[in-house]
Amino acid sequence: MPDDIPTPEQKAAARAVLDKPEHKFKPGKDGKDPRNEQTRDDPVKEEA
Amino acid sequence: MAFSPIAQSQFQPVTATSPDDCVPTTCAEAVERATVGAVRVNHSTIRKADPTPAPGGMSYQDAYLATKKATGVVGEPRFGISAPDLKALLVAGHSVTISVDTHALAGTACGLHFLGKHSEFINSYSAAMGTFRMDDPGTTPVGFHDCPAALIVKAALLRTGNHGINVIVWPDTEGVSWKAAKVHSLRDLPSYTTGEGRGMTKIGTTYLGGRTQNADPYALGTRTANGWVHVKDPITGKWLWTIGDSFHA
Repeated sequence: MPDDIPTPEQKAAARAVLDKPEHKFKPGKDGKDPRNEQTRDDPVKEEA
Repeated sequence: MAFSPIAQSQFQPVTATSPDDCVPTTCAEAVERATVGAVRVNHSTIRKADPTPAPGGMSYQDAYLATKKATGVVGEPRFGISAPDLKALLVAGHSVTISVDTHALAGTACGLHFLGKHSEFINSYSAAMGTFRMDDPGTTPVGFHDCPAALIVKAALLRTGNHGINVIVWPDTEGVSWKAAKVHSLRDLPSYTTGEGRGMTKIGTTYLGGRTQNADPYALGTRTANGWVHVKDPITGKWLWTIGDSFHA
């Protein structure tokens, strides 16, 4: 491998983060996850 | 350093939803990053694919679904991750959309012209510098710039009241395998002008990939692209370069 690329250990660490169930979308009775609703942003004014 | 898409603005083009399109703009940047320059869309494309259209900002769940529907690029929304988790994802070759409160950035070199709930795109992390390479879709003139990771983490935690960091994790492009969907030149350098052709990609063949990078520009449809992928030719065993479009159907 000629490139400086992520190691298998680094790949596995990322996969472990993605696989943690507590970080995934969890719909409540209303079908919504409050953490997901929290990601709706405020409106931005165009820079002058 | 991984291939970086062009910096985009939620006001290019200006649409009725532009003020609320921080999230879909970061999704558009992620699409170009994930396809190494093969696909370039803007915030409007993602917004039009919103599965639950409503006024205001898009949620990360809706944004990931819209991006998947519009482009086929699949992100993974994750909620409440830690700062080490965030760095681990970036080090492994992912990019992310990150949810922040810009109050935490006020008065710094990474401060924005507005205060509030916002999303930014992080292309990579430098552990040596302790910085994120990122773009803010609300401030067009700045483009990609480096911000202290600790500062961005602070802004992300302010947004959630210290309940972790909310992100959309985009596909890993570094050291992954790529399946050819088009025939393009395999070259000894990432350039059509200085590099020499060493063969062609073969549709259906899976190539072991190395790094991706921005290099010599080339025409792609009606625009210019500059994304290149380092791949191992399974026939000769040599490492060669091809454009990101080789792997996009």
